[in-house]
Amino acid sequence: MSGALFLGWRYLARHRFKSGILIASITLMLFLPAATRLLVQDSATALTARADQTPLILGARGSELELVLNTLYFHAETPAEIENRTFVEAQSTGLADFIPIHSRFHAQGAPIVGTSLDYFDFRGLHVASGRQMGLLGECIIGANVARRLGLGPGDSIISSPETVFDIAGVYPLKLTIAGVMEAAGTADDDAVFVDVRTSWIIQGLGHGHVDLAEPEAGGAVLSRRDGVVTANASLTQYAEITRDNISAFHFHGSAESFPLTSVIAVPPDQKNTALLRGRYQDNELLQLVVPGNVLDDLLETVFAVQNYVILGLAILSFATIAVITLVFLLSQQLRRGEFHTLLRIGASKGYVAILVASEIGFVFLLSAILAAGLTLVTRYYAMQILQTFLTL
Amino acid sequence: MIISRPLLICMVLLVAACSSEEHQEDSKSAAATKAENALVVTSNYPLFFFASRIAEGVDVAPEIVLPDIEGDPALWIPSAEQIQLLQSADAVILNGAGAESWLNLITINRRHLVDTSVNITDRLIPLEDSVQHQHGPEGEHSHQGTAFTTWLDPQLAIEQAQSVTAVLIGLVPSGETNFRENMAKLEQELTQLDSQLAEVFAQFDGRPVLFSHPVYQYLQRRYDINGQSVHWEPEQEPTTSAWIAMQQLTAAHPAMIMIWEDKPLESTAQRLSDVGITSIHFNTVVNRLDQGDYFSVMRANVERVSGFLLTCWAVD
Repeated sequence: MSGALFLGWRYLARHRFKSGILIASITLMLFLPAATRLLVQDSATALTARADQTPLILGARGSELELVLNTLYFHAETPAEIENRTFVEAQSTGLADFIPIHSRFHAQGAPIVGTSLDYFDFRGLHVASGRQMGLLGECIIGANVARRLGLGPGDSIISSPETVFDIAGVYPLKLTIAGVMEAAGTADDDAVFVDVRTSWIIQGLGHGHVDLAEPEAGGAVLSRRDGVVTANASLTQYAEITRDNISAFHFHGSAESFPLTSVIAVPPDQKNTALLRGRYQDNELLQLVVPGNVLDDLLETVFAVQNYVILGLAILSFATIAVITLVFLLSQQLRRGEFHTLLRIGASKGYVAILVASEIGFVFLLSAILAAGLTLVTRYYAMQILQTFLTL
Repeated sequence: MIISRPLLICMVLLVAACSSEEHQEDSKSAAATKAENALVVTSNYPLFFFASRIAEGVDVAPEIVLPDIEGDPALWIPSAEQIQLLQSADAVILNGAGAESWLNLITINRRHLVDTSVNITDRLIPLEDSVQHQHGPEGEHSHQGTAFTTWLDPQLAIEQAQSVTAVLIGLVPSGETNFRENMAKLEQELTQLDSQLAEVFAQFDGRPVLFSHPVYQYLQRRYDINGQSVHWEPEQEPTTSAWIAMQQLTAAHPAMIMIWEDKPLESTAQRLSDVGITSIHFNTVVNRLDQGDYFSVMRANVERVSGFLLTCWAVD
């Protein structure tokens, strides 16, 4: 018995190329449907969990999916913006806790999320090293951002211009890293968090410069008339907020008109949830969505697609098995002389059968091991790979 | 970049794969611990004093902290440690009326902020002077606001102290009776101080007064003081143009006293004296005191003004 197994193993080792092709085919046949089903099911569970942790999202009317994905995963496609006034008015209702989100800009490949401290409590995020952001211009980065860019507390990260050729657009702002968050295994690990007012400064709604009433501003002053000082374009704006120049930072216009991409609403109970939903039901400019519902719709599509994919893979697997069977049968034909020799030197027919079965068994066993390994590796690295796509 | 729907779906699903429930549990336990150790931070000395007096002798009272603020609290920029203190507080009691310009510079949980001026907004005094500037198409900008030394009017201070009481009761409901008793005593003392100030300033009888800095607006309004402000710093020698401006001002407003936030330089006081203006130090009690407390300092202010009235104007 062990001799037959040994001979089977040696046969596969001797014909590495043929064995390799067989193993690769069976591995893919097993891996693809298993990985698809596993990933979709696991991810759907996790996706629903993050959506369920986010009771309501208030945003501009438009694509619900875009609004939810930007709020939950800071996806690069920015939904239509709403005014900060909407957040202030929502807060004044007292029906829920509201958390502003302004997710539009990026810094070295990571989304910059302007928000309030409530976000960290709401998501259960903790500082692993350093401290929470404090002054304007400070940020706190996710664990993956810190690891990928090799950054830590005290370092800095620069916001990216929205477009390379927009020389009149948003100037980069150097953000000081106050702390790094503990890994949470969510999209928060890949984000750079700033105070929402810092994100407005990145957008150019606020800035710092020398006091125009001071003599140092002389060259940049166009005119002084009736208590109004007008500056020209040579007025240098600070590219970094420090303790020395922070007092010079200010905003132009009313903060209520400044933009947000969404507002997370966390009502205390079902009654307030219903009241809030009723409040925005007929609003022509705003929508209040339940992320879970939006993602359930998405998941229905996902599962439908998954079933089609698995059906396709099943058909492919059937074809693969047929081809493999053919390969083995043809192989038997080619090895008739070899089996005859074995019988003549005293091997039984059972022995030959075990030899052939062992070859097939080894191929399937190795394929199963490889398929399982690949599935685990895929699950392990999938988030990192796909997060890269998300931030594009 | 527009990402196709199927790809987007897959990406989102996979990114969501590892959400952690453990962090939610940690958050809940952290919140529970915090509620047991209430911390109240005040933004200036008068509020710290009021809160401390209201919480005095109450076993379950929260810890009341005034950060070490160097110089004028209105110009304070909190350090990283102080920001952490403010962020960890269960309540940050603010004077309001624009006194806390630093609020615009830091990240703080807005739900923990308590503006003690919110019930007196109709009585806040708007500041008049401001410089507007404009660069680019955004429009004009200026630094306008309201006077914020509200505690110099004891009646406004009482209303602010009542807001402080409400905060403490909200944090520690079991101490309500004691807080209210302490508040009643504090109100009594503030009313008494109000009477003393009213009595002493009534003797000015409309005679003109100069203020070294525009920080006495509420005192001026409450006690009907005929005052004008200049922008002089006690520790700095006034410039020649400042002296000229002052002389022009006194031509129309012949003041015989100038009320200072702090003791002026000897040379400045002497030069003022030479032109017939007596310098009086009236502490605004805005920051932590080396000696005494709000009441002792305010009473010392009253005594200095009374002393002037006795010696210079021979008022009984």
